[in-house]
Amino acid sequence: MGLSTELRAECERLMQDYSQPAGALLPILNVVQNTLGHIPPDIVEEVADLVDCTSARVWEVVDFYTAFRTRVAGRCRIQVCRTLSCRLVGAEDVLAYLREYLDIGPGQVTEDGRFEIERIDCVGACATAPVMLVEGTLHQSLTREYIAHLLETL
Amino acid sequence: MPEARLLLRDIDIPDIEHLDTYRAHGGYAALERVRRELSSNEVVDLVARAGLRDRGGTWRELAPRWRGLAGRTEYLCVNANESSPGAFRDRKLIERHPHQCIEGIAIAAYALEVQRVYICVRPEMKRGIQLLQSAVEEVRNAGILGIAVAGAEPPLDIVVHVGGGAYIAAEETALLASLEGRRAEPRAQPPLAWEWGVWGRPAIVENIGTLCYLPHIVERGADWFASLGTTACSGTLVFCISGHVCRPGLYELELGAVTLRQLINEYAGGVRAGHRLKAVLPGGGAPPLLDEHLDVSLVPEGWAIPGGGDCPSAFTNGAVIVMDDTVCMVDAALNLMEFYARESCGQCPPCRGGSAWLRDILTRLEGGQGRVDDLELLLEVAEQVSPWLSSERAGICSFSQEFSWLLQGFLRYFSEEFALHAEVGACPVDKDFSIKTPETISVRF
Repeated sequence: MGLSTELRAECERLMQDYSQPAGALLPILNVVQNTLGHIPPDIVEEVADLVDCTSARVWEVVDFYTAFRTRVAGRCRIQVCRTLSCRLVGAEDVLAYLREYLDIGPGQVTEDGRFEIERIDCVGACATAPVMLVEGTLHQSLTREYIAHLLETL
Repeated sequence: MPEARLLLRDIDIPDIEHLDTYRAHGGYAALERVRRELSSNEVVDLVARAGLRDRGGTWRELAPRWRGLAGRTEYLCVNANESSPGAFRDRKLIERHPHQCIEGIAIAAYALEVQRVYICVRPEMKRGIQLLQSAVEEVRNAGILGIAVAGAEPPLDIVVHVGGGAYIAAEETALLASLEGRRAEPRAQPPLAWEWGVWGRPAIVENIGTLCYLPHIVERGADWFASLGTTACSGTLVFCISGHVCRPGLYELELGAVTLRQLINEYAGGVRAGHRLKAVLPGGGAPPLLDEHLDVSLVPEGWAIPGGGDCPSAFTNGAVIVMDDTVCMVDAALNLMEFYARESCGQCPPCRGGSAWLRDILTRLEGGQGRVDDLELLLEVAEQVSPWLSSERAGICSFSQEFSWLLQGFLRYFSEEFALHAEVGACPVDKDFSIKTPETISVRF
């Protein structure tokens, strides 16, 4: 499996913004991950060819940055902030509520493969802590009621 | 004393993120005036007279570097990779007021005579990325960035560069590496970042929150800006305050106008009722302070770092985290050290090994497996990474200084609490992990 025609076209469009093709590597990886949910290992070589670098370079970049991952776990990714400001005002409670509703903890996937929970470092929304990202979208000022309601709508 | 809102002045206006609304409130008038009336050198002079300093944490003056670089630098790289624990100013400026960011950036680009700007933003800022992209699209379509004319200089081009999300990518040379599509690893200087920036070409990195001051300086004058704050540090700072306070949020205050105690008690409403303040982290990467330290003025001068003052901490980005008496200090130190151990880029052994070692010792202390000599060991490891508030450091960048000072700060003030963990073989603090909802939040989120 390689990049779809549309995805490849989007990557090529991104490359126009950089005087060296490898400059577009991080934006390309973001687009790939947003579209496919992860960076499939079998597209790494194609991406490397596209931006004119080695596969090893793409791998080391994927490995370095926390945002990228090479396999998809649950279809809906829930990332709960764990850094101090969130911890002080209830990040552990958020995880406890999620466990009540979904019966999973950080690093786990629900049996039906719908949800997965991770912990994430400070996302920079500390006044409205505790916060979490659901498929990349920020949810702030979390309460038990909010979480229950949100999970019903997902 | 009322807040001195410049960057936050218009932040609660509905739809200010759209070009029409921004313009209806005077937006882009400053950029037009700059282009019409001033040369690039004159803009640098204006920035010099205003005394504008970096708000990303270094507090260096912008103008001296700009003076040497105007016309020589090829790229302006805008640092919007805000990831320091407790910092949420740039996210809010981007999400609520993207055109103010773009206007500031465009004025900087004019002063530096660059045609290509990269706004380097972290992927976790999904909404901010969309808003910046649509703001760029709006100004491009409106001809505000310039119109392509054959044979003339090409118009200004602003690219929103979505990185990979790493705290270290906010370091100047690491940010440039991420822009080249590499791991965000800081590198030793020289060659200086602005001489050997991106793809071997000169590039300058400035924080997005700093550049947001430029439209205000143009609009109201350098002398007016210089009259705010203190003689050495002019203007305002947008403080971010979070943790156990009644009114967390953003407060924009004149530098030196209030004390840390006033910020916490008068603006943020103090700690929650029935509790007392235990410790304060006064800025991103800054060592903790106690109640007895809080009468320090909020301006770099009085602080050990960067001003050489008496306050035993660092005045950095104004991201304040307040902890009340329900917090276990070993738990808080562990939380931060886990962050640093994960976020260390891993190039320099003292940083890579030191952060992980400190984290491991704290883990066993908090988990009840601490040893009696763990306190000494923590201090020894931290001091070897970087002695307390000293300029000596065991790595390329200041990351290792941050965590070693942070931990030494905790050990200075809370050594008894740390020792008790080892003595009783458990965490002696009755910790409260419940969700706590504040009374209000200062700006619209």
